Amino acid sequence: MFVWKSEKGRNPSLTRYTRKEHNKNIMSNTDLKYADRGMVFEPGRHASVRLENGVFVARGKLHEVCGNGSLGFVACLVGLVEGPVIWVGYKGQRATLNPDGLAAFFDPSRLIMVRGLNRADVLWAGEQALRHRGAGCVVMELGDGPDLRESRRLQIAAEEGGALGLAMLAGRAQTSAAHMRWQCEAQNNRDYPARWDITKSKDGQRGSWRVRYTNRVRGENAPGLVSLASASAA
Amino acid sequence: MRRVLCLWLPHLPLERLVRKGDARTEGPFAIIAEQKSAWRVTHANALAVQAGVTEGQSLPDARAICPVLLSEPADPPREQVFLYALRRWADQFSPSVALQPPEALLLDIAGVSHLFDGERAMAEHIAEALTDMQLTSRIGIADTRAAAWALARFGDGTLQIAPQGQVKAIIASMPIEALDCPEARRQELKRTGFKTVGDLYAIRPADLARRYGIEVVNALSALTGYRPDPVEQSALEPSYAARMSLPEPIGLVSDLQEVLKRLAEQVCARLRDKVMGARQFSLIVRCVDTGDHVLHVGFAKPCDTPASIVSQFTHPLGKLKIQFGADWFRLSAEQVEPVRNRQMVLEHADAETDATAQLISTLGNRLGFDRIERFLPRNAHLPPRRFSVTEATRGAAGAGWISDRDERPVLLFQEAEPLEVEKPGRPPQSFVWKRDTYHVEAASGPERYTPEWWQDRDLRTRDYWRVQTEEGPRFWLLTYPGAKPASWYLAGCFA
Repeated sequence: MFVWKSEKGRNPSLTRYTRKEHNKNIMSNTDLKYADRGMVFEPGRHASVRLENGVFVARGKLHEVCGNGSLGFVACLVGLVEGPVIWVGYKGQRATLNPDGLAAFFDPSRLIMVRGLNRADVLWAGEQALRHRGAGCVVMELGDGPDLRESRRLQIAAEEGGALGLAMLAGRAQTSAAHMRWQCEAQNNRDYPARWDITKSKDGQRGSWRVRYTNRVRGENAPGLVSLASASAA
Repeated sequence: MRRVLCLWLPHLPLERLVRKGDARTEGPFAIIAEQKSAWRVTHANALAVQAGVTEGQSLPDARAICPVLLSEPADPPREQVFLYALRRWADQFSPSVALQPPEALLLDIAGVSHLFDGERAMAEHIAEALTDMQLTSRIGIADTRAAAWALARFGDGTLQIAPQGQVKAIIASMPIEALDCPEARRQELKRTGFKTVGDLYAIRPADLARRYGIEVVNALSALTGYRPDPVEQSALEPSYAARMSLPEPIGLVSDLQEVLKRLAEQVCARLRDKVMGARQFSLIVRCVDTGDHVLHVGFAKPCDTPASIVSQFTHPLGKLKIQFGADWFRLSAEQVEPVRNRQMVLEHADAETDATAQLISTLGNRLGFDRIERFLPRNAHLPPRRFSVTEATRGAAGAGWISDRDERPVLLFQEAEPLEVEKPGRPPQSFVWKRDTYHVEAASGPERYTPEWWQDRDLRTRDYWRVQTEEGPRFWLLTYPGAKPASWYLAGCFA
């Protein structure tokens, strides 16, 4: 087989800037960008939203959220990051967000609502918002989960922009390139009204929690997390 | 001493169409407008006049007299634009030109006429230039604005000049219509028997004012120059636009972007001179085969940077189908607003608003700016009325959200959804929503609201209940107390 060789003896078209290197560069950028804003900063990783037991929801990644308690999960995470929140939904929905209720989790003046007509609009707007550096967090309301191609595009956009990408799935989840998938269910429990499970994580994080919303004051809306495992052990 | 030249274009609407090359104007043709609850002829061309059509005639009458008459409704906005264009053209004769809508221009020619060898030569020069443009004109020159207008309008011939200081004598023979006062006043004067302006000279102004109102006296003194009546120069709006025509058509996107970049640099330089920015830009691309294509982009805040204009136009330019190339381009700025200059971005908060505005522009240009919304707090007690939704580009984010003392649902239904009650109760023990059955475990309420009677149609009292279901979700139920049978609705969901 004939392989064209350059002077250095390597095929120049094959010496590619690997995705890993690319990510590293971007990560260091985003780390700097968010680190000096006083966000959680972990050297060598993305600046991330830290939850209980060392589990963290990485910024610059796409995460899927399923279940009937997903709005609570998203609201908590939005309360933990800074910057404007781009919330991409569909036009003409019967249910709308209630800023009065969300004010318990974060300042609703950070919210910018984008209304798409169809799935393509929503995905496009989500991708643009993730890629842009203007957003701290991008929430997409999707019916079925993004498929491999859609989620990969969103994932790359999130890596470039450094925002926290959250896809709320109302329907079925599909095989996707999302970094994590959370199953959030409302619970019939006076003390812990929600239960969050990690059903998929690319970096091997596991856990399920019973959740109580504490500090219901704007700015310090850290959810009070009690790990299910530790609760049952005690 | 002031000298004012009034340029009256009696057939402006008609000649606008003639200039456009409208073939209908070759036969009998009239411009019509709705006056006194009928379509009436306002302007008729020579052929129509020959056939017996007169101005003020109703259209059916005119048609009866001249069956081949064609007509077109008047188009005041376009006529104004045409007059405005003429006002720009008239700049060459006088530094101070004013518009006198609907169809006259006023030129302050004090100290200017000698450049054109006197007033008469100047007026003839203007009339000739207008004839070349296929426009009929009548010109009056006098010491005052009102007198010049009256001379142009009611004078003999197409040009009448009142020599300096002789306005009063010349105006004396003008009809009462020359007075610039309300129509009712003129009617009263005519009914009394006054025919010309000169008839009024003999009467003391105080008597005139007492009998016919002060407007008549004011109009008369404006005509004769006792009362100042200045020509109010209308400032030309600066135009923020640039165009480029090319000897050969181009079609590559990179070439188009280069052209756009150069145009944007010109426009932005002009905008920056005036510390302005534009919220909308439109680009006209004239294709060799398919004609003009107009592309628009909008911005979330006034923009004066060429780079962002080029980047926003990338998407619409990419969608444009150019087969044989385009050779003429025009970029114009619309919705021009002052730019509030900021110091170089030092803080993250500022950087964030810049980046966010850019993002809103990008999203808005594709989806439409009305699809990008933001919540504003509203001072109301009824929970669904406590916020309003506005376009994100309109104004800044509203501050002042107060976290309620009670827990509020995070999701609200615009129209509360009717529930199918399985086991009744207050609140129902079990109900069906979206084909799922929910059993109520605990409930708190009612939270009672009276409606806002000053804007609500629905004047029923509302009771809201917080409900914890055995299945998990917590709902906000709505019912109207006193209604029989009691109906239950889903008003919202809690986090």
